[in-house]
Amino acid sequence: MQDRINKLIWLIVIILIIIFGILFIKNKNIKKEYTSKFYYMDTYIHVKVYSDDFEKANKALKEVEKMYKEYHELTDRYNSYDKINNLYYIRNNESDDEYIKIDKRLYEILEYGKDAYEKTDGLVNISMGNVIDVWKKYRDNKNGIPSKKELKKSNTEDIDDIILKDGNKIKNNHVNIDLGSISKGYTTQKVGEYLDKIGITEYLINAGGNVLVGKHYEDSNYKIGIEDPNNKNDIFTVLKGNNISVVTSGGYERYYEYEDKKYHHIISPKTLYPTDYMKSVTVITKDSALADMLSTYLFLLSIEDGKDYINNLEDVEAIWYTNDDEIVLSDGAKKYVHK
Amino acid sequence: MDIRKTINFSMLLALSVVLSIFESLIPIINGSIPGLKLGFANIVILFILYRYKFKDAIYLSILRVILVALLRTGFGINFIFSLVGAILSVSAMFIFKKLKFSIITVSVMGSIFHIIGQIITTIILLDTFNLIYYLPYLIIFSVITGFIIGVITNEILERTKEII
Amino acid sequence: MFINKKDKILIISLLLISLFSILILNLNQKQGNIAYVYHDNKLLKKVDLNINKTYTFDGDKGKVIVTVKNKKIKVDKETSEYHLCSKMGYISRPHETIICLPNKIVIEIGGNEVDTVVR
Repeated sequence: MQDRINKLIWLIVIILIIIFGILFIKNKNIKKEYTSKFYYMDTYIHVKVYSDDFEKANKALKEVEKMYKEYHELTDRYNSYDKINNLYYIRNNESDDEYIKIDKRLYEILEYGKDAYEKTDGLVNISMGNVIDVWKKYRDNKNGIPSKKELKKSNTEDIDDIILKDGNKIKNNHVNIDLGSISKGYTTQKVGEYLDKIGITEYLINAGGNVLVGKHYEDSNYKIGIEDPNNKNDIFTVLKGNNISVVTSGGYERYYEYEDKKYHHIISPKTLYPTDYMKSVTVITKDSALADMLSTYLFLLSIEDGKDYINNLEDVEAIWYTNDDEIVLSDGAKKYVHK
Repeated sequence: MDIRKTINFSMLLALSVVLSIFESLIPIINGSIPGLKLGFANIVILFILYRYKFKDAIYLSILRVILVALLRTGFGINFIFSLVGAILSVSAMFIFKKLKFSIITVSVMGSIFHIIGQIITTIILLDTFNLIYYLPYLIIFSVITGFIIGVITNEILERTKEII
Repeated sequence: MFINKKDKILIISLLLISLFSILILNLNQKQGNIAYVYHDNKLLKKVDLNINKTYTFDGDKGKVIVTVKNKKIKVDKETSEYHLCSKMGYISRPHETIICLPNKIVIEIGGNEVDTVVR
C-alpha cells in the first residue's frame, strides 16, 4: 500500500513537471510590453510596443513620441514654433512671397486633405478653419449659437484656395486650414509604418480614440472596446483584430448645451452646422489615415448613405450607434465583432 | 465524559481561541488575502489530533471558529470561510495522518487546506475567481508555516507525554 | 518527527508546482487596462486604468475612495475598522485583487478582455 502510494506520488510529480515544462517553453517567447504616454494634438496618446529587445523598444517609443510632437507642431493652428512653417504660419505669415515653403510632411498631409475632399464629396474639408473658429468661439462662451448669416459670412475660403507646388510649397493665400479631421489618423498611420520598418510588428497605439494595432503579441487578436456614447467608462462592443485601425467619430465627447440642445464639434461643410444623424460611428480598416477621414465623413452622412458607401468599399467596415441606441453594422463588420 | 478530559479540552479550546485572535492581529501582506494567518491556532488542533481523536479535533475546531466569531469578527464572510477552512484543514490532516505521513507533512497539509478552503469560499461568496492566482504563493507560505507549526507541536507532544 | 521519503516527495513536489506556477504567471508581464469594481458581487463600474481619476463608491460600512494613477489602482480611504484595504497599496497586474471585506467591495484587474478603448 505504502509502495503504491509512493509510486503514485512520483507519477503525479513527473506528469506535472512535464506539463509545466511545456507551458514554460511555450511562454518563453512572450515579448515584453513597453509603454509610453504623452499629450499632443489635444489628446492623450498611449503607445504599447512588444519586443524582446529592451533598447530597441525604448528607442522606438522615443521616436514615436517625437513623431507625434512634430506632427502636432506642424498641424497646430494656434501656435507658432521657431523655424517650423506650420498651419499657423500659413495663415499668419507676413512674407511677400507668392509661394511659401512648408515642411514636406505638412505638404503631404495637405495633399491627403485635398484628396479627401474629392473622395468625400466635400464633406471632409480642411479649408473650413474660419467656420470652425466661429463655432469654437460660441462653444467656449456657451452663450448661444451662431446664426446662419454669420456662418455663411465666415465661410470665405474653399479647398481650391489651397494650392500646392513642387512638393514643398504652398500659395500664400493665408488659408485658415484645419486638419482636425485627419491629422490624428494620418500621424498614427505614419507611426505604424515607422514601427513596421524598424522591425517592431507588435504594437498598439491609441491616440485619443484613434487606434492602430499591429500583430498581436500572443498570436491572438487585439481586443478593442468602443465607448458607449450614453455611458462613459462603459463599452457597448468589443472588436477583435490584427493589423487594423479603429477610429470613432462621435458627438458625445465635445459639445456644449444651449437651450436644451447639444451642439457638438463636427461641423458639416454643407450646412455649416453640426449634424444629428447618429450618436457615433466607428470605422475599421487597415490604414489609420483612411479610418480617421472616413469616420468624419460617415458621421456627416445619414446612416443609409453611409452604409451604401461602405458596403461598396472593399476592406473597410463600419459600425453605427444610432440616435435610438441601436447598433448598425456594415455588411462585413461582423467578423470584427468579438462581443 | 471524563472530567479531566473536559477540563483539558476547555483549556485547549481557550488556548486555541486566544492564539487565533492573537495571530489575527499580525497582518500578513496587509490583509489582501482575507484570512491569511501564521497558523498558531493549528498547534492546538494538531496536538489534539495526535493526542486524542479526530472527532475531538474537529469539534474543537468548529467551537474555536464560533467562539472567535462571537468575540471578534462577527458572523459575516469571515466566519463562513474560517469555518470551511477549519473543517477542511482538520479533515485533510486526519487523512494524511492516516496515510502515515509524518507530523510535519500533516501540519503542512493542514495549513494548505485551511487556506485553500478559505480562498475557495471567498471566491464563491464574492465571485472573484482571480483570487486563484494567489494560490502558488500561498502554498509556499503554508509549507513554511506548516513546517514550523509541525516542529513546535511535535516538541510539545514529546514534552507533555506525562502531563496531558 | 521521522520525515520519510514520501514526506519529502510530497513537500518537494508541492514546492515545485508552486514555483513553476509563479514563474508562468510572472511571464505574463502585461499591465491591466481595466479594473472591475464590485459591491457584493454586483459590478459597480469598469474603471479605465489609462485615465487618472478618483472614484467614490458606497460600501456596506460607508464610502470607499479609489484612485487610479499611472495605470495602477488603489483604495485611498475606506470606512472600516482596520483599514486593511487602503494599506494594501496599488495593484496593476492582470488578476490582482483588492478585497475590502467589511465594505464588501472587490477590485479586480481585468485579464485581457480589452487591450484598449476607443472613445
